[in-house]
Amino acid sequence: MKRNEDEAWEEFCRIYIPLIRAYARSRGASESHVEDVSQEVLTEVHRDLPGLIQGSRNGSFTAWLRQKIRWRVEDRRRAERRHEGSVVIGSGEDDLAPSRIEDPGAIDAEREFDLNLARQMDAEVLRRLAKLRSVKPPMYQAWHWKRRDGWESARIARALDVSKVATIDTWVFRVQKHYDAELARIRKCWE
Amino acid sequence: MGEDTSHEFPAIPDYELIHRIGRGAFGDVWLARGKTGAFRAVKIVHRSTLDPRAFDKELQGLRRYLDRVPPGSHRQLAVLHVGISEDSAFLHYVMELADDVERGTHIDPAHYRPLTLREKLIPGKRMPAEAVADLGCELAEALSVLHGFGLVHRDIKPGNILFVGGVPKLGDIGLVTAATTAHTLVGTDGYFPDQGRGTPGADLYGLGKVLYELATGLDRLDWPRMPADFDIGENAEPLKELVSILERACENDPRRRYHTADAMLADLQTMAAGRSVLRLRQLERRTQRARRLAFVGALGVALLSPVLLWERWNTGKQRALLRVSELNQAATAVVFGNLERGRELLRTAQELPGSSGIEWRLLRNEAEGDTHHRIPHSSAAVEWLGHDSAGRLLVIDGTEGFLVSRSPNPSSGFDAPIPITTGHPIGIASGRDVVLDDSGQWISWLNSARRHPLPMPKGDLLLPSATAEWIHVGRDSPHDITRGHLDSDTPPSRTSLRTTRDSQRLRSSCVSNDGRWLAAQLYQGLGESLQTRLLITDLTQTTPSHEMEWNGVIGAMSFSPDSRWLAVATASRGQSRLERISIGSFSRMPWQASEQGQITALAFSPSGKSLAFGGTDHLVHVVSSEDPPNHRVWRGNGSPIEALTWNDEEDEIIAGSSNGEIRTYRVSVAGPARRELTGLPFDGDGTLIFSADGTRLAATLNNRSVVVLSLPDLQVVSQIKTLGNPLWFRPDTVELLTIDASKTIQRWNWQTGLPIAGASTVSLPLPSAPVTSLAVSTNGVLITCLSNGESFAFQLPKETPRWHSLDPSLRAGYAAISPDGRWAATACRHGRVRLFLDGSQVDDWPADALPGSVAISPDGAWVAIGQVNGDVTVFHRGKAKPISSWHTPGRVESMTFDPEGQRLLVGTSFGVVHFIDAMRWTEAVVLPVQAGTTPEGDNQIVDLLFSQQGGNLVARTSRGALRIWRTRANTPGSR
Repeated sequence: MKRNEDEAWEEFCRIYIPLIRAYARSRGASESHVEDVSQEVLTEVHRDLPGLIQGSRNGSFTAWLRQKIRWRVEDRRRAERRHEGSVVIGSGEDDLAPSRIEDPGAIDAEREFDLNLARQMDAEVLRRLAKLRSVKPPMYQAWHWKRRDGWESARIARALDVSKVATIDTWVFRVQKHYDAELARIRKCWE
Repeated sequence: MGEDTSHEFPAIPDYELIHRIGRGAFGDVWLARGKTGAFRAVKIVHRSTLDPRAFDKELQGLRRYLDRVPPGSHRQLAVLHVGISEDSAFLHYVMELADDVERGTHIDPAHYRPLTLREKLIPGKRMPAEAVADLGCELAEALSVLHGFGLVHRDIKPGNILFVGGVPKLGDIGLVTAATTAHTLVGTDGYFPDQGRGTPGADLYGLGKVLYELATGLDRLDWPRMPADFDIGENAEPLKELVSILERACENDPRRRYHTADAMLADLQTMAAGRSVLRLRQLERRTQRARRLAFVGALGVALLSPVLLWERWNTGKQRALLRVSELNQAATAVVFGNLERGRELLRTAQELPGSSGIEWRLLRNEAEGDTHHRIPHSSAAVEWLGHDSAGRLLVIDGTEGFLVSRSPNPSSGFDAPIPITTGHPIGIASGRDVVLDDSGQWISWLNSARRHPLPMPKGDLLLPSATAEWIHVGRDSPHDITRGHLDSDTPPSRTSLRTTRDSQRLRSSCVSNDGRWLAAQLYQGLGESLQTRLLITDLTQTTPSHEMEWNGVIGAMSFSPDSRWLAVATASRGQSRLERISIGSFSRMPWQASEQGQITALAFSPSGKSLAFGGTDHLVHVVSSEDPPNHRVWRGNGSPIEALTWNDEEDEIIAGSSNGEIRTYRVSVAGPARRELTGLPFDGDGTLIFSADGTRLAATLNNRSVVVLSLPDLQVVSQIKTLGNPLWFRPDTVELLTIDASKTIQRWNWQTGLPIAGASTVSLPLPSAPVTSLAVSTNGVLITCLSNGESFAFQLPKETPRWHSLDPSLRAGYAAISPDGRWAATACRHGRVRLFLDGSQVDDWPADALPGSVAISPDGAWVAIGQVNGDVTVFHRGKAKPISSWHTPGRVESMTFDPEGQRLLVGTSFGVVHFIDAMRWTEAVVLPVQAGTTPEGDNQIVDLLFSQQGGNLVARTSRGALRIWRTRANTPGSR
């Protein structure tokens, strides 16, 4: 696997593994099945990774991923029922009924997924920002205090022993540009 | 961690495994009891859990650790024993046991949980920064020891920092490996850097993260975020200090990270000691910035150097061209007599590079003239000079009136001018310090400003300096002479002379010091019909003593102090003649050969033995009353001389000129200017030679005699009757060698002009072919070229050749030799130029035109060929092709290098000398022999010679004139 694929895979894992597990749980997968569902979904994503990196997929990645998770959860559930001998009697359509009937709790699950995805993406961006050589720790700290903690520039300047307040504003502006660029990239790839 | 009995207990010799207390990536850790009852931790690594290579590597690492870190080593978890099972299925190592989480050093096997730093990490809870720094010191010290053994830990994290007896120690020894083989992906995410893994710096990165978690309560992955209350509370300042350390430890760029644990330990200790690491950082940053600036500066200099060098070269080239231009203008100004302009140009050129060349010194000597002192003065014309009764210099200035010097030394400056009556002042009776104005209306007393009216008609008012009289001669009625007394109010007496012609008017007049004799120049008519008469009368008589028709206009006249002579300077047809008339017999006799220009000022010395005169040639001349008169000339005034006077001691002449310049000339200094020797009838053929010390010059006068002249005054020392040409002054002797057409050398005493008694003549053993060229070095090495292509060298006065060269193709050659006689150059008419060192040929160059002369530099490096078409080609020793070529108008018949080898001097048939810079070979300074030189005229330079000492350059022209220039820096007149 090429290096960019390595990086992309690691990035995907960091963002989505918690989401896949949480979503699988919210879709009714038992704890014993969550790991299996995750592995199966990851295997499929890994198989399609080159296409994903190149942006050759159509439609929303998250919708595609959620669909995969739902299917795998349903597969597990069905296999479990089959294993327990509880055969569902009825037409073929009835067999598929559970996956087609809209789950009332699914709306919350989707919303939760989206919220978690935003959190994970933010964390990933912060992780990358922290590792950028052009973003020095004081710059990062200034940006974080200003944007996340709501500090005044003058207070940040005092905290960092910076003589000019304008320097702080410049740092914040630069880091924000990096943040926006990274977030846009990640969204383009994984949303 | 509770008891775990779900696995089979491996058998460890001498130890009883109690239960598993930890599980790692590569094995399990068990609580064990030794035979002595001591509790230990035993780590067991099964071969099956690792690939064989990793298993062996683990074993090697442990043994290496045992070898390098002995038990009891500071801060390291002690490994007591390493072993491997009999079937090699697993390895084990026994370690000292960490404290219990709850009971400390008291171990209860049933509830034992090892105490690690992880147990102290509670999310959101922080340790004080100072405490973190103290802990960091201990851990950094532990890492320092480990790194000192050449090992790296590779997995610094809170779970691997154990407390044994309350002391933090580095655990998970299995990961320890040699720093040189540590670049494998081992560690825990967030505690190792992306770059530079497996290095000491990576361990410090992990330590930084651990301290970050302790100090901020944040997760390691949150780095470099700081808590929102970072600047609040007592912990704020210490935390700032700690963060500055962590920033370096956790730097993403491995190059900027701590490279050694000692460096981090030093910073932590600085903080722990209460000193500021931030200040240290600021200092480091400033130092770094200064270094960067220095580097950028050095880089800039390195990059700009070529540009600067080019700029300097280009500027130097332009300045050199400017210098040549200035010097050429100066040469023209000097040659045409505009010395002031010449001096100004030379001052400008002096500030340009290379100004100390001989041409500058030569021109400076020409322009400055002889010894003198310049008196500061205004630019108004000086009309009269004299001394008052106190010996102070009085100057009558054309615009300001009288200037009186503050002391007898005029260079001390002048007092404020004394305004006098209307009109221009014309004279002073120094005995009374009175002044007359030229209207003839007033007499003024200098000291009291008293004025006395004189109701006289317009005319000349004269003051005999030795009497208290005034004498008035009417302008329109010069025969009416009125005399009065300065000190009394008695009426003036009037005398009417009876002359042959009454219709003439007065042009100029003068009176003797005793007031007895009056000389008046009368004239009638204008232009072609101008008639002039000189009238000399004894004022005690009513009849003029002598009247004579005068040819020309008298520019100046003066009685000698003893009234025995009247000196008269007459201008006629652009030239002046100086005569003296004996008072009494009234006989006329010429005093000096004609001079260029017009004489406008005369002044007898107080003793009357010398007469100074000057005029439009800007020169100051002094002739003596001896017979024949001794004529000396000083140069220096920048414009025509208007007034002259002597000091009482007769050792200084003071000259004022029309540009306001007043200069004093010291009469006692030898070396009057005499630029050209035209009095001797030189043939313009033959040779010129200098003596080694440069004080004598021998020149062929004609085909029967040689003349020896002294320098720099060009006085004839002796004249030698010989058919030969001068060849060589034998140094430190009175011997002069000459050579005639039969190649016979004769020896002469140059002081007496007679052959040296007992000295035999020497005939050089040369073939019968004519000699085409001769050159003699200062030390007497003679090189001669014959028309048959042979060249010989002799050490004079021996007749045995030092070396001999024969090339029949080289006919009618020219020769030059360096002053030391070692280097010689020959050139022939058909193509070859050769360079010899002690008779051995060094170089051989083709020359495709007819040579007219050849020159060699003193060090033998340069050889120049002058050709009849005006080309000068320069060769350098060892270089196959010519270095430079130069074209001059006219034929090049003489060339020479200056003694320093810095200038090549080229004399041409146009009567000019080109001074070519031997370093640049660019524009030359051109110096004409004299003003108005015409192409191919009588001033064609046929010989050019530089004395090795004495700084004299002599040029001989085709009409036989010798022109001498002095180039020494300390020649008289130089300042």
